[in-house]
Amino acid sequence: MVRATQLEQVVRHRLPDRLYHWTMAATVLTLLGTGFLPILGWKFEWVMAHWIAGLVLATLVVLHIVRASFWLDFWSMVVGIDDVYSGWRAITRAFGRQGPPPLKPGKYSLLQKLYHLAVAAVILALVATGLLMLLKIDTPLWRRNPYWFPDHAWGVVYAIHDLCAMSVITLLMAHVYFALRPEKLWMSRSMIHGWISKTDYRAHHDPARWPQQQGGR
Amino acid sequence: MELFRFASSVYGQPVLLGASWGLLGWFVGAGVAFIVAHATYKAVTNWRGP
Repeated sequence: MVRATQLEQVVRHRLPDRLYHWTMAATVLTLLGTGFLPILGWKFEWVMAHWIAGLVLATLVVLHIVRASFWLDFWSMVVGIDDVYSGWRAITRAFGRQGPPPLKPGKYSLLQKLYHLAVAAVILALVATGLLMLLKIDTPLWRRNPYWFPDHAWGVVYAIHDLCAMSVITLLMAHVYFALRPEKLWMSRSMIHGWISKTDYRAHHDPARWPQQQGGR
Repeated sequence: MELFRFASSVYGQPVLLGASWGLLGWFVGAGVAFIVAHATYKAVTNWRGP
């Protein structure tokens, strides 16, 4: 039997996606802490925690790609013509020019899609370079072999890893800032509860671009 | 400001080690600048009205 409250809710993030999000958040914070605190002067045994968290992140990324490709609506996160058109309208209005209002988005807005694209590029580069860097340490699973690449190639791998890791800090700051802004809390709560109200659904989304029946997809 | 870290090889040539950690402050600063700029813009536009 469907409860009355459920009729007023639209599923936005199903449980596996929320678990993915918060596990990824914990993993990224662990990686940032174990990666940067030693540079800032905190001395502790960080290498093992860092590579284990890195392998967890790599596993999560693979699981997310598979889930987004087969269980979620993959195209809901891809920038389309409507997004560009709507984004242009938003920019012109932000600069005080008159014109039609931006279109309501589907599940994700243009800025969310662009943010996701930036995070995806940075995290994939971090995972790829991080996996290569595992060749330089001994673990219970493999022996180190630092001679796979010449020194200058290792330098490029480390430089990419370092720059992407630092850019994660900037991206994370923006992410937390928007999640905590009062006008975004209706959406942020859905990453905890999984749903948004029908009122917010109607106010912020185009049902034609994100049909309610698709809910958590 | 250095963009990269270098060491010297046994032949005395520079070898790239990675990105300079001096950039860390710039990445944090970029995040702070973005947040301040956006919060200011939203405060001003909300004060003016839609």
